[in-house]
Amino acid sequence: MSESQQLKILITEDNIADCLIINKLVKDQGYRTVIAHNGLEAIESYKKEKPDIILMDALMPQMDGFEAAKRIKLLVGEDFVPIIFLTSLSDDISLVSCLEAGGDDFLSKPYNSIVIAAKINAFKRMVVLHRTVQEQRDEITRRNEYLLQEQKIAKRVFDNVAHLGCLGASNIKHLLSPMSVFNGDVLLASKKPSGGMIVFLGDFTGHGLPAAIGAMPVAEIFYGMVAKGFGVETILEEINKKLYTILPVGFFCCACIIDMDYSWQRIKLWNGGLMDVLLKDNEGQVLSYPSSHLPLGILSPDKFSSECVNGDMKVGERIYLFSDGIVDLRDKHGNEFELDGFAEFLLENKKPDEIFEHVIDQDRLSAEANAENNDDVTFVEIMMIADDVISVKHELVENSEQHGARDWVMSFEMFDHTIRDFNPIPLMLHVTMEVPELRAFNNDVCMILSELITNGVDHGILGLDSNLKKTANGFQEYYNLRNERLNQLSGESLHISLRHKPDKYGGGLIIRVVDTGSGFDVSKLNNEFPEVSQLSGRGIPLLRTLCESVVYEGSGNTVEAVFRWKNTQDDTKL
Amino acid sequence: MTIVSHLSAAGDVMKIGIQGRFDFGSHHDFRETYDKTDSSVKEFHVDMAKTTYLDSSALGMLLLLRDHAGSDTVIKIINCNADVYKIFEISNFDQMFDIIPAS
Amino acid sequence: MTFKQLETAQIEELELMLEDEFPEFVRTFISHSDNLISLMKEQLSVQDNDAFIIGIHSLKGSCRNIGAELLANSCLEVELLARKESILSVDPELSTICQEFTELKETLSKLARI
Repeated sequence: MSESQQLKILITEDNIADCLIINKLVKDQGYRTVIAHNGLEAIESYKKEKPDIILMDALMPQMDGFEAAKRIKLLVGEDFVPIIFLTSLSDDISLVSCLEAGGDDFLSKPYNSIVIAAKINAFKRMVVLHRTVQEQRDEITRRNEYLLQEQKIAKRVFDNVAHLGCLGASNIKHLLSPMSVFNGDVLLASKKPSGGMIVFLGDFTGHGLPAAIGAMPVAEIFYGMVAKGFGVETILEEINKKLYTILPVGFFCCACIIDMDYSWQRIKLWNGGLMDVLLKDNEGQVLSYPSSHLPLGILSPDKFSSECVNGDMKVGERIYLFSDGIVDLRDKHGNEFELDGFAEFLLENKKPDEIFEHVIDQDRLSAEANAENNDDVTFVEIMMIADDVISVKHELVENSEQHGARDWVMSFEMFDHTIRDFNPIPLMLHVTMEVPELRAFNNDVCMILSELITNGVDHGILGLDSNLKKTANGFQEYYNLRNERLNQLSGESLHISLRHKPDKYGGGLIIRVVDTGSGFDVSKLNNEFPEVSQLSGRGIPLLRTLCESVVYEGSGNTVEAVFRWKNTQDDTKL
Repeated sequence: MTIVSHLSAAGDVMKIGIQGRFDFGSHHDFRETYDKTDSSVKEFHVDMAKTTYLDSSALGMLLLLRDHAGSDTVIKIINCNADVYKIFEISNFDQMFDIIPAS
Repeated sequence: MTFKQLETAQIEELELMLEDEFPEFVRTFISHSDNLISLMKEQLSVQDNDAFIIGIHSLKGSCRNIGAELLANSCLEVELLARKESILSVDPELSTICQEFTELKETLSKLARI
């Protein structure tokens, strides 16, 4: 009903004279009128004319006002059409009947024009109010629907960006509730080209779309850099830099990143703002890795620290991460899930395979107990597995790829502080991947480059002994010594040269690394004594598996490895 | 949630007391408290004695205060009970603020 | 307590409100009320209690509206009788009502100049 449209009032009155009077009274006040002479007519009239207010005589032939009022109120439903009874009934009981029948008020005879005007006016205001509220409610519902649709679409885009990784890997179990995606939780996992895996759990502040949107650049950076062979420290620095730039002040991302090294059974971990990360070892002990940094996105790049904690993790041991939504979990008795409680549970539990399921049950119970309170829950269990070098898949390269570099040589030398500050592996990998056919061997080439360069630095230039890494405190000692010696470099260099040449069957990549270290007894190596293989990483046996040849020259500080690929339909390498 | 603020006579220390829940809904009021201050305020004391609840949006608001005040201004978060202190501990906010537990 | 045949204030207010529709209104009142009275006599003869009550109630109401207090009161007395005991105790000729109505008709016609 617009302002210019006047109220339409239905007058139901069986006495014709009275009807004339009330009709004139109401019309004089500027309203439109519709007439009915009994209850049945009133109902028909209501259906046809949809009046805004009804004046109803109580006693009428055919159907009285009470019955008509009851039936009309049913038809009205959730709208508001006030019914004012016209009556000369004077006893209270009858008046109560009016109200019980659904009447909102009554007018007594003789009719008084002032009283009628006042009552109609009052109800008119109520009708307008009711309609305004209904319209606003409907508008809100419409807008809400629209927003929900937008969110659904946004979520699809988000899923395409965030879920490229290896969350399906057999050693990761995760619970990422739907609420948590749009409450800012992001879980990323990617296999490292050099073997092992990096996992990232982030919890953005805020809720809904603004929280989720920050996750997208993080996912892009993460997957891009892991694939290129960058280390976790560099990845963290990039992510922090990005978030520091794009997030408004006051918004940040509590996060944990874990670098898992399957071959050395080691982890490297950074926790900024998340709850303690728990590790249950094979002896049944529970170790915790508490948050030791500010969350991401707060500190400027110059103040940010990507320093990680190192730890052992043997095959079969499990690590647990949570976002803070998990503390809102309640079981059916309303008891809170507590971190300390969980740590205790971990300690007591003798069946490691059941731990994850237990938390899932808690989540389900909590969801059933209080639907509206159930917030975002992200819970991850990662198990250390044995080296999965062999499980890497090869992909077919399109033979139609005409462009690319297949005949070239490149050399790169770094000195002293640059050896300490710069990791050349991503750069070298990037260059070799300019050979289209090598892209299928991304992982293998990365492993080879890693081994050769790391050996050149750690064992060649820094003179570190791998055997240190085997003892309990050895790893920490190893890295301490490594950092110490890196800071003391003077007059040292690492020279890397890469050469690719096509051949009759495909092509060959020759990698040559020369370090200024003092070398070792090459004759021992070339005779492949097993114990000598312990000198480096997964060692020279790995290199020999992947490469056509690995030759140490001179005093052992020069190594040349050749990787050959064959151009055939079934994509086997030589 | 109510905010009670007090500027010292010399105008160099501002005390802000948070009473009740310090959460998403507190944003406007909290900001209004310090917005008009300038570099003459050398110290802010945020009093958590009567704060019943704190979440990540509160941490965000403290960061906004830090941004407004600049890195040289001292910001003390005082009278933190065990729960509140724990939150600051996990988030390592003691790297940016002086977190003082309730005595 | 005596009742006026026609309450001046009431009828004059009606006249004011209806203006040139007043004569038409008076005619309608007279003919409709006539009908009602005939109907009621019929209902009395077949002893239709409920229908009779609706009729007498209606007449009472419209009398009130025009200020015909005397007739309205007579209707009320008959209505109460019918509700409390039965229409058997009601005068089947409705003598008092008819008498008073005839007199009212005269007064109204003069007033409306019809």
